Amino acid sequence: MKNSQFDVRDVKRVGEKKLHIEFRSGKEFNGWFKLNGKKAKRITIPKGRKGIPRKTYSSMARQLGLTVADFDLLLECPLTKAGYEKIIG
Amino acid sequence: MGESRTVSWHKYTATKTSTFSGFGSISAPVKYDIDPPTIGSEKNFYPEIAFFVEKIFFLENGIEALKENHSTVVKLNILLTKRIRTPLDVIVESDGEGFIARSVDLPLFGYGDDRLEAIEALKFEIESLYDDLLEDDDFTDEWKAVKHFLKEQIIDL
Repeated sequence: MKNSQFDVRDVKRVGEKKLHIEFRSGKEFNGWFKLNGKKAKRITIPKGRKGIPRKTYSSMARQLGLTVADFDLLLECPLTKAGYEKIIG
Repeated sequence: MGESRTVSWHKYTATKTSTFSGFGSISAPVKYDIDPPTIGSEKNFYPEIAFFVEKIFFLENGIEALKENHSTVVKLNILLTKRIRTPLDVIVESDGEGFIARSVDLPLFGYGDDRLEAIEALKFEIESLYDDLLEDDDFTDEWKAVKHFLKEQIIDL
């Protein structure tokens, strides 16, 4: 688990750039990942946290339908959008 | 006060469950560091008073357990502006410097500096998801099932 290497801004940035998630800014950031035009996964990113605690990190991974290891890869860059769609598809 | 009633303590060490108004019942690993006071009969207390003393003792221990970093299971049935027919199980535990409240049945969590803040954040998340799901029908079957579930369960306050 590489939660200590990332903060919430990294998760949001990767969600936007790589997965094309449009986040809605409310109390927290919420966004839907669309697969084949349908809303398939919904992620919540807590606002105002520099570091991401372990359980929050794994909860975000689970929301995206990923293992923590795959979530690490998504944030580190090796896992592409196509790779992600293959995992959850 | 003709009726005599002996209050026993041991049942609470077995059930370890209490009820907080506001967010339902809490199951917590309650431990007793001291022997509970002995309340034998109506000679010392009226049964009603003994009952409340017993409750207070149990709640005090429950609060102590909550102050520590134990995981607790909360039954959530009151949201911010809505109510849930069948309470949802929520696991609340420490996470880094704060706390996380996770729904067992829904892929949702709330984070906060303390347990109550985490639960409040989760309440917001549930309502936020519900609103999202009511916006349209462009969801996968998995989410349509969640939508159906929440439409049956959620009632406006």
